[in-house]
Amino acid sequence: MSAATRELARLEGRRMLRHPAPWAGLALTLLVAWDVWGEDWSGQRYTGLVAALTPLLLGVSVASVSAFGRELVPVAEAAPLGPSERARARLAGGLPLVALVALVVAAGAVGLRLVGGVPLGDDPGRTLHAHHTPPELLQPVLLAAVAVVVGAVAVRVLRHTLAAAIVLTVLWFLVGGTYWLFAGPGTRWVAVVQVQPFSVEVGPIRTDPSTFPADWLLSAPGEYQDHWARLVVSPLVALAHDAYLLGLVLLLLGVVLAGAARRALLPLGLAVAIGAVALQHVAAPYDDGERVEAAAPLGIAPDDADATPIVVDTDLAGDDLAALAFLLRRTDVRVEAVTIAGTGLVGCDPGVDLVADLVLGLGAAPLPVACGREDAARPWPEDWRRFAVAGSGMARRDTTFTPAPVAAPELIGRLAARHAGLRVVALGPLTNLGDLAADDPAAYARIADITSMAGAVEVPDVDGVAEWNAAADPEAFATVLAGRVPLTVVPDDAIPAAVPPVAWLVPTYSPPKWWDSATAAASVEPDLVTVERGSWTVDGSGRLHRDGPGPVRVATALDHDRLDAAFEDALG
Amino acid sequence: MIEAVELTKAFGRTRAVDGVSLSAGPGVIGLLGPNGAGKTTLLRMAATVLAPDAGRLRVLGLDPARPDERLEIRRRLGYLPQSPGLYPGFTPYDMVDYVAILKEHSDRRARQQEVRRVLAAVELEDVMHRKIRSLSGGKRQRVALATAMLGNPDLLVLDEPANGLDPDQRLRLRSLLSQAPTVLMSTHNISEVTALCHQVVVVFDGRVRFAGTPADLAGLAAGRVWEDDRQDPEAIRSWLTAAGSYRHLGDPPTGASVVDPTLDDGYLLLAREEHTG
Amino acid sequence: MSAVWWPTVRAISWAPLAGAVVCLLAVTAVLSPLGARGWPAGLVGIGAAALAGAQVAGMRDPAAPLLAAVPTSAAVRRGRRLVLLGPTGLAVWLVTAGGPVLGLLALLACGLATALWCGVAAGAAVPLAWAVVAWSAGWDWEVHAALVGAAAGVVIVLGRNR
Repeated sequence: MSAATRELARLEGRRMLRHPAPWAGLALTLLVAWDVWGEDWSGQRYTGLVAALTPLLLGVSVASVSAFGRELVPVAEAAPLGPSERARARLAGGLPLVALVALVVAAGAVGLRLVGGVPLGDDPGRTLHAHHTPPELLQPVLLAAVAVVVGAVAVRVLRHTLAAAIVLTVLWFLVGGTYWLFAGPGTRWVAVVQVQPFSVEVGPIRTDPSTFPADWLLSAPGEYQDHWARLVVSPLVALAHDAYLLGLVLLLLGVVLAGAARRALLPLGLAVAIGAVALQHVAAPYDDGERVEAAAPLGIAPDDADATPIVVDTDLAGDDLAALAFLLRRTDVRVEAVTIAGTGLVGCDPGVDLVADLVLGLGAAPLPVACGREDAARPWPEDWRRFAVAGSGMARRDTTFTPAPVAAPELIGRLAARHAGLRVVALGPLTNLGDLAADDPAAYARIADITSMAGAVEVPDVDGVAEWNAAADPEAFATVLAGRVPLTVVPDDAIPAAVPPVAWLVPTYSPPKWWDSATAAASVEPDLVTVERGSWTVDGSGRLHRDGPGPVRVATALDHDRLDAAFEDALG
Repeated sequence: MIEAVELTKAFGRTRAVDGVSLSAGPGVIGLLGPNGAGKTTLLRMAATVLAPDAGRLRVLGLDPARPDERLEIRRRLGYLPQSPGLYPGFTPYDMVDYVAILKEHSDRRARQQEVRRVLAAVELEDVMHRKIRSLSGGKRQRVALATAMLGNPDLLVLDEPANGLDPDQRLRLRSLLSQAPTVLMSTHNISEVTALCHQVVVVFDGRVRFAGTPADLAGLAAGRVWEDDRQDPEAIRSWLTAAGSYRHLGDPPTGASVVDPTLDDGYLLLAREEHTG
Repeated sequence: MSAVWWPTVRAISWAPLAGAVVCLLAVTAVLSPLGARGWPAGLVGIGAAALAGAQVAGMRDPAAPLLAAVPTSAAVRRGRRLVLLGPTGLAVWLVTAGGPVLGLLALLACGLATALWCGVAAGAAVPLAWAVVAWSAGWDWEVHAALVGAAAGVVIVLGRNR
């Protein structure tokens, strides 16, 4: 490099360091890091700190775009310092920004040492003292080099600084802000930002985690994961990824520079990048053969000859699933059909899939499923709904049940005509039963009895709602309360606030109360329910009011020990 | 054609035009002055591009502050800014045609004829279908000039129109400008003023320091220019001429050989007096 | 009247929008084999900002000084550019990310308002800067989109003749 090139490099270095974008990026990176620090679930801090560097890397790229954008203005075209030397000088001018990123990373690593590391993994395989390995720490520095060179390439290709800045913003946030998109089998080896640890599936959702080796870091099943996984940090893969980034830098330099440098750099960069991808593939911690075999399905015992026919009318939250599993496993009841309250939490289509996942997961035969109308008086919170649909913890089956060709109220009516003594266990809003009562009172009257989890008597409102099943369709609930079919209502007040032995069926679900499984148990074990009879009405918030004497049984308490015993008996 | 009374325009703390009053036109009016004197600001106000902060301005007898009258001025105006900016992917024909459309030349056939006429006037017929990005700076300047001349405007406002033009084209420019009823142009080239302008306005620091004919401007230095073989320290300005003698400006010493002043002498004298306050 | 549209199409600097479109298509291409339903929330704001910024960048008119004194006002000329850039960007947005539309319009309005008062570069930077800050701070990039869009609209109307 000539003295003039060095001098231009120094000038560009100072200009790039003075550019506001890297400093704004640094401020935003610190903001993200601060936010990430507030998270303590699983490896959020460990992974989030790497992704937090995205704004800083974008800032470096924007400064580089600004420097190489000067080449678009035809000043000193005939100067002895030609375009190639100017490009070299500008690339060298980006080195102080690479050093800045290195400094930030070093400061972060030292800071993590001082605070003793970050949490990683879920109980029982969890540490509070994880540290990034040196090859992982090298990655952001190489990414900063990529940021400088990719800025130059963007200007060279687009010949427009604004366009280059726009493109780089999207690209950096794609590869850095949503790095997890590239964690799939087809993309993980070419991901620009590699965030470890890797998640290696080691067992199905119902595996007892205490059976895993004690030194494994674990990732528990959750909203987005239907299995137990082992978390693996691989310094070798990180090192191979560093080599991949180096290859990318060389490749991009080959695009920026001309002549002999280009001829040498393009094949060299390509070779290094391909070699590094191959090395990552070989060093991957994916085929370690330590997978725990899936537990056999629970299985379903044949129902007794005189089993009571029931219809489960449900809206398929996590504890609805536990309740349905409980009823399917009871030999003294025969589930004739599942009807879905469309006004309930998950709605019809996801509900049918959830029933299929559960029934087939248990090893039971397919059941008739029908849906009711979906116009809830009060829409359910979207995040509850999303979690109930995506976070059941059950593996999605390739198949689903075909909904019955009739609507849920009609199916209940037909079953009541076919099976004398048909009972209905209603675990969601009472829309289907209310519609049947209104449309076909004679068919409704054939139902032997109804047990419903709905309403609240004295528990306080939350956001103006006493209880959601009742509040989602208070009109239907009022119809059922006023109807002639014997009715037992289990309100929120009667549900014990304890985790029942049925909870392991839905490990991703941790509600304050298990309303529906308790109600299902109460429906088949009437002795564990204490009731107050009366004539009851419901208001728009789902609150029950006793108006006087009457036939409706409203539970005031459930026997906790007998509930647990019932669950143990059916599912233990 | 252009009447300005106490015209003022400031950018932040800088008063680019500071109480300018002038009455100009018809004919070619040259605006002279150093860089940053306010010439461009004055031209932009005359072209209705910039509104004055204070003062009264009438262009072609109309008030540019009133939207309807401003539109009427623009219909009768041709404007060439200092850095016109063109679309590099257009041909000269496309560019002038586009400006013609924006100048409300809606009849297609007539517009095409007019576009060809102005391109011929600036001698660009042979390159009118080449991309502007492939043209030299002088030819680009002529494309911009052609757009200003569309529709034979009553008033041409030209900011340094001879920029980038070769001597031949400068001569051509002279004949083009002589066809317009009124031309207000800025220039640094005093020979252009001599050759083109009926009236000259000299601006320093946003103020008019002289308005009159070119002969009047030269006359300011009458009796204050002399030539000698050596430099005279008493002169307020001295420079070496092509003939090898020194030309001096100031109060001539006794016995000095006083010569006839030129426009340069008048302008330089004004500039010197402005500089020394 | 129709004679003006084709030259306007050619006069627009399409490079930023083309760049943004290529990026959005790239994101869609990355997402589709993953079977993702819609874009990740964090990327939607960035994508919308890129598109809005690119549309604003396309408003830059290098011949603006030359056209400053033509009878067709700057507001009309900008309006024509917007008629071409706006629906194109919107269509790309709906095809790639599938919305939301209101957030994109609010970002575009903010960018245009800034461009009128502070120049096109600043106008193009504003949506991007906001999206990056919102991502970093964990804010909703679409917060009060209708209100923000309306306020920006007022600023645009006030500065239409600038």
